[in-house]
Amino acid sequence: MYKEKAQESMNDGQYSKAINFYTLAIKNEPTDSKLYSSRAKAYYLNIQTLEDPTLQQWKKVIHDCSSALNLNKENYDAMFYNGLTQVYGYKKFEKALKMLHQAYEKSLIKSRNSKSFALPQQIYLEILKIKKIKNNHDIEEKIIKSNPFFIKLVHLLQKNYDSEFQKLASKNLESDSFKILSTKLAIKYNEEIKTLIELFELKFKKDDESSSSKSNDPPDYLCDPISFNLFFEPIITPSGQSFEKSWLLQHLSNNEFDPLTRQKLAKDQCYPNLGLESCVDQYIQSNNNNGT
Amino acid sequence: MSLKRINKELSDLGRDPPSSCSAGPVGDDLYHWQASIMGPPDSPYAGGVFFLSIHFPTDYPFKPPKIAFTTKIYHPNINSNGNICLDILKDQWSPALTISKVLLSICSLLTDANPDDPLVPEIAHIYKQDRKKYEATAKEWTKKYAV
Repeated sequence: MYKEKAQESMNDGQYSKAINFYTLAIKNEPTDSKLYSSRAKAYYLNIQTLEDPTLQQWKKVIHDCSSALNLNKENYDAMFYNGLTQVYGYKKFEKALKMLHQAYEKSLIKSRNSKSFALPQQIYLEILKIKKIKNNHDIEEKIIKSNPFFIKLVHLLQKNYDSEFQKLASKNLESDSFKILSTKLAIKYNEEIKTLIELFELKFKKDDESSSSKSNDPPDYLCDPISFNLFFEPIITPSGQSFEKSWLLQHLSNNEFDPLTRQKLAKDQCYPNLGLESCVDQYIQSNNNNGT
Repeated sequence: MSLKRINKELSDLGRDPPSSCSAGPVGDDLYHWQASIMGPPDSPYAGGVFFLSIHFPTDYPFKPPKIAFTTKIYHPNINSNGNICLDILKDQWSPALTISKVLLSICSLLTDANPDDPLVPEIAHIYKQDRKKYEATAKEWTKKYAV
């Protein structure tokens, strides 16, 4: 009853309403793993509508995902939303990709029985996106780390803060006014560091834009001929042509022919194309843009 | 899922357009396109420009796009509603086909009709019995509706 109402609210995009209904549903059935992952999804989608989500809100997603996984460790919805939260809430890319790969594997197994491949396809697109974000992030870190000016300026600001703080401490002020003044000093220091990071980020983005305008779309030989996306898990057919796994399996769930040659084709005639997979990884690494 | 692929097809068409046809969305709806085909020079449709409407199903490319002529045309495999009898638009569809490839197939259907699998039996009959009469009527319709 509450479950249906929650589902309705989800479909209408009323996520906070859905959260309340899921909470009521969980009270009735506290051991239903799916209810927790559904609420996690509602929390996640609700966060997407916020401008400045807090860590507390992200924690709720993680918490529900762990509850769902504790009840059923095969719950791929929980893995999926956990993975997304690791990226967008906590910026933990490695952990997120690991989680999303698991979700992808499990959902693909399910899809083979139900013949609905929408979820693994959605997860695969998210993984591509995150690989791209991660690469951008890595390069940004590298530049900040390797740029000696950045470190130098941070040290100078820190030194300045330390000496001002010492001065303040040597003045023998009353404890209340000392607290106020030292807090002001700390806020000023934080602001300065923030401005500094923004400045360097600006320069990084500029460099990035000028390099991205040069590069083109990914070459066709690295793209699946059905979805037109970069390969993620290419499989090769007896004709020698490669296809993206989840897309080809969807085609083969209703047909029995190779999409390019029309030769008879069954699922067990297809094998992973690992060489092509490494080529795509290499391509993503050398082109930190146009990842999808 | 399909939107991404439709977008990609659109940008590929822009970058590398086929010689005798063009296609693009009508307004903001990417699932609804309009296309045009120039009548092949070695056919009675030469000199005409034929417009078609393209509707993508939501599960494209696993299901074929719905393509129909909006310009009237005299052809054994195209009826008065513009429906086209072409195997790749029905049971011979493959997800590896693209709009560009389908439009080229329609072009070659204009050059080489398939009277043995007709959609309009009367036209197919004339095509087989009196080729000159068929060509004359096709030319006349082209002049009347497609120029």
